[in-house]
Amino acid sequence: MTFQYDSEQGLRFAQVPGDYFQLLQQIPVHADTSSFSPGAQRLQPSPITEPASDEDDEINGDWREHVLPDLIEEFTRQLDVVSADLKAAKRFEDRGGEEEYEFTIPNDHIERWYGALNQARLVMQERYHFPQIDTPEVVEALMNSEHFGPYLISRFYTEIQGVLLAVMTGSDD
Amino acid sequence: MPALPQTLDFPQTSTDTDESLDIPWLVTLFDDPVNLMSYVTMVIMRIFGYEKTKAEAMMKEVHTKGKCIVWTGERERAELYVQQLHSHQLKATMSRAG
Repeated sequence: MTFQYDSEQGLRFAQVPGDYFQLLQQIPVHADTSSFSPGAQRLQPSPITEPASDEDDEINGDWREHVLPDLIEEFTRQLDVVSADLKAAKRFEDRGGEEEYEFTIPNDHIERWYGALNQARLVMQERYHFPQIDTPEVVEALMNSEHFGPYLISRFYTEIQGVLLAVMTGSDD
Repeated sequence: MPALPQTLDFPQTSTDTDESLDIPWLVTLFDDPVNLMSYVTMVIMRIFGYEKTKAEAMMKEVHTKGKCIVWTGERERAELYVQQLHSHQLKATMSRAG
């Protein structure tokens, strides 16, 4: 898989293996909180977690009524942008007959892609409670658990976020 | 719009409500295992307009101590800042100082 940033075109991904492409297509699936309330609570928290007065209740109530709908709309838009960009991907076959994909994330989609990947990782973290330290011992223990697959997916998403973040911050890291 | 009265009669009883208006609100940013440190720094800089060194110091405090008060002031701006932090998927709350 290769990626190249062009300040006019955006971030171009090429030679994306079919398996990796499928993982990217699954971003909205992993970010889905419709039947997972801890994920929804993480993405849509109240501003005051322990309301202790009528004013606190009022703030949280106003939040649910006026702020949350915009937040949910933006998060949905992030996922829609990812799906649309992947739908526009071109499919190739390499010399061995393996499928590969090529697609571009336009400049004005880059932050939404980052947000979509963040949603997926935040919800996966709530769902699987991955360890925060990834020493060889911890990873080895994970390898023997049913959470290893999701863990690898989350790590893959983190790598993509690193590329996006380098563009967002103008960093060469 | 109604005109202001010439004289104001302040109640002599409890002043709790008036005092509460003077209590500043704190915006607290919490650590989470997902958000990348450079992203957190970028968001702090973007939302609060802080210099990179200050934003990085706050990010490190979040990372090492689990949380950091990133702003203090009036309620409306605290609400706006928490909204912006949430829109960047950072874990943040607002609370009264003290």
